[in-house]
Amino acid sequence: MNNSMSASKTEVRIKRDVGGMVCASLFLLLGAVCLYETTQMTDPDSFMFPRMVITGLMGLSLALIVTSVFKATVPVAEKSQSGAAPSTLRRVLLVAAMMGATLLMPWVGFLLSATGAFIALMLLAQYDPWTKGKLLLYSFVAVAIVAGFYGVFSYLLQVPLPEGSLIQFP
Amino acid sequence: MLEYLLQALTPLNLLLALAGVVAGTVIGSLPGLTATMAVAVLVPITFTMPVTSALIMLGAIYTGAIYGGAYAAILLNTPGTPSAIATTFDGYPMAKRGDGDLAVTLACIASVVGGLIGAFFLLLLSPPLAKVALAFGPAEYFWLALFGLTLIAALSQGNLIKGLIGGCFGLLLACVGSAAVSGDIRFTFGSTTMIGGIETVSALIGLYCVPVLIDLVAVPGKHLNVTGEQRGYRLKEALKISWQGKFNLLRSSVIGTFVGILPGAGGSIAGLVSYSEARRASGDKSRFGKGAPEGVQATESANNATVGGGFVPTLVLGIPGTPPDAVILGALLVHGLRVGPDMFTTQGSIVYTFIFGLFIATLLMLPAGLLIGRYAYRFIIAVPKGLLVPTVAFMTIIGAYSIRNNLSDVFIMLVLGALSWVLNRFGFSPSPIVLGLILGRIAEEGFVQSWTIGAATENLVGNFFGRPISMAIIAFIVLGLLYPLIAKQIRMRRLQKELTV
Repeated sequence: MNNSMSASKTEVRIKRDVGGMVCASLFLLLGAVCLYETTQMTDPDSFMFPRMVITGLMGLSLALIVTSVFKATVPVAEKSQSGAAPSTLRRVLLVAAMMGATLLMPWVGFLLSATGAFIALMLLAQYDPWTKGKLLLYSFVAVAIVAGFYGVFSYLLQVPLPEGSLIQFP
Repeated sequence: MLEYLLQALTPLNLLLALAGVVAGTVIGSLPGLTATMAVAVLVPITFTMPVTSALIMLGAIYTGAIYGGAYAAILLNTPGTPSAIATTFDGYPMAKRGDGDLAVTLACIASVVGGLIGAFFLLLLSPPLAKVALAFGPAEYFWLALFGLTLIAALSQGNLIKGLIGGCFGLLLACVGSAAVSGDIRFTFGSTTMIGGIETVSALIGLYCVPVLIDLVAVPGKHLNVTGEQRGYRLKEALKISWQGKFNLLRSSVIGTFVGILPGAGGSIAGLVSYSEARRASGDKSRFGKGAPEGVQATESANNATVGGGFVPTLVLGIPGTPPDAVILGALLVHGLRVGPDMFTTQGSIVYTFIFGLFIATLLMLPAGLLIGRYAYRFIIAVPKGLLVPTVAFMTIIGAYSIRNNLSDVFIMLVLGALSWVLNRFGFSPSPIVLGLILGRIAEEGFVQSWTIGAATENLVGNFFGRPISMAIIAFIVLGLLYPLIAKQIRMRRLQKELTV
């Protein structure tokens, strides 16, 4: 009795792979668009290999969709019993901050946009409460890291980092 | 030979070798700064030095940079250099479970062993080995790339179809931009952002590092598991594991040397092929990808062995085996050296002193690498998340930008990173995508050129399947694919026999 109970407890529940099917459908669509693009190419050297790859991508995506429709393949994720749920908002904001800083670089330059992104990400990644000392220390580290890397890349490695068209430093 | 060894052991050469190893290791550990960049940036320093000292320093920078790539791969899941791609497969899981210190020490020992074996081949077998490089035609490169792609089966995390889809997606990404042979612009859909193609290092940073950042920022708590006790270098434990895996180290180093000899192949392919072989030869394959020390050993020994291997065609034929070799070749020309088959006889003192210098630099990598590795590990576990996340994010942006001084690469890196995180949630591992991206260009070039040659000589089948080296690689591919089935059959038969008895 006990054995059967423990067996049923450890039994892994399987569900249909809806996420996989969606991804496979998007790959199928991507393959179709790319395949159409290859019809515009005239040189066989340009389209021979990509067509082979696209055919493989589409065939495999189709196979994944068919398999997932007829068979449940992925284990149901167990809900976490302890710890906080991951924050989707922070995830989105992280990507947005990095993307935003990159978009701003041609206008405000590397130094300003990178410092802004650094501070934004620092606030995003900090879970413990801020104290005055911590805020001061972290701000100092942020400026030191950005300025330090700026110096190393622009002066030592001679990498021309983006200058802002709106704000320029002498 | 003894006089050359003594020349390599002068205080100046020793100092330059140490400085080169340290500088290379530090540069290589920063995501986005490759070994090529490390050598290229520091090459002007060597112009005023005596030629042997200059060569020793450049070799030391190169070997240090290849090893340095392992730190970020192990501690941040971001290959510091493309050579360390396969180091992430087991290095990062080791760090996640609290064995990051052990992984760093193992990587250091493996890099030293690989570097020494590569230098040994360079010292003793350079002229015959250079002939092997010449025997590799487009068909062989195509099959070699395909051999690398068989690793997808191992990296698919339980779903082969998803792994293969990821591999095809990576191959398709490799086709973006100008075509390998014809030069046509493909799959840019009118956008100027992608005309230059997808830069491999930026893509690697995106596919591996951005998902880690996305997950890091989402939850409180530490980045890596660490036990309370200080366990030092864990050198004794690492040496024991290294001794147990001596055949793995030897095999991977030999693979690394041979792949290094092939112009254009490089450390990333050496690491992937040796990882695949280490996994195939292992009794328990299920541990790979979940923090198997053998995975780290295989990759790190192979990528450092490419340093010695790459110098074989560079010094004997004047054909650079790897991109950093091309920079070093340029430096040799600046110093007025004539590279070619007779270099080992006419300028033997320079060549042999350099090779001994490479041995010394590799040996110096052990103390220097262990020390830097220890502090890198301590730094990563000590830095609070509020500083670690923005610092790593900042390094990904500046690293992706600095490769081609192009903001488009940063956008592509971020888009691929977000995509990789989403795909990973639905069971599509990033490793097959990376594999396709890296091997795509070599595979396409090899395929198209072989096809063209085969069509022109009216011997298409013979050109692809009839050459001895091609046949050997095809045999390895078939063996690699069928090995799990054969091994299963053998196990079943043994079990049946035991049951009958």
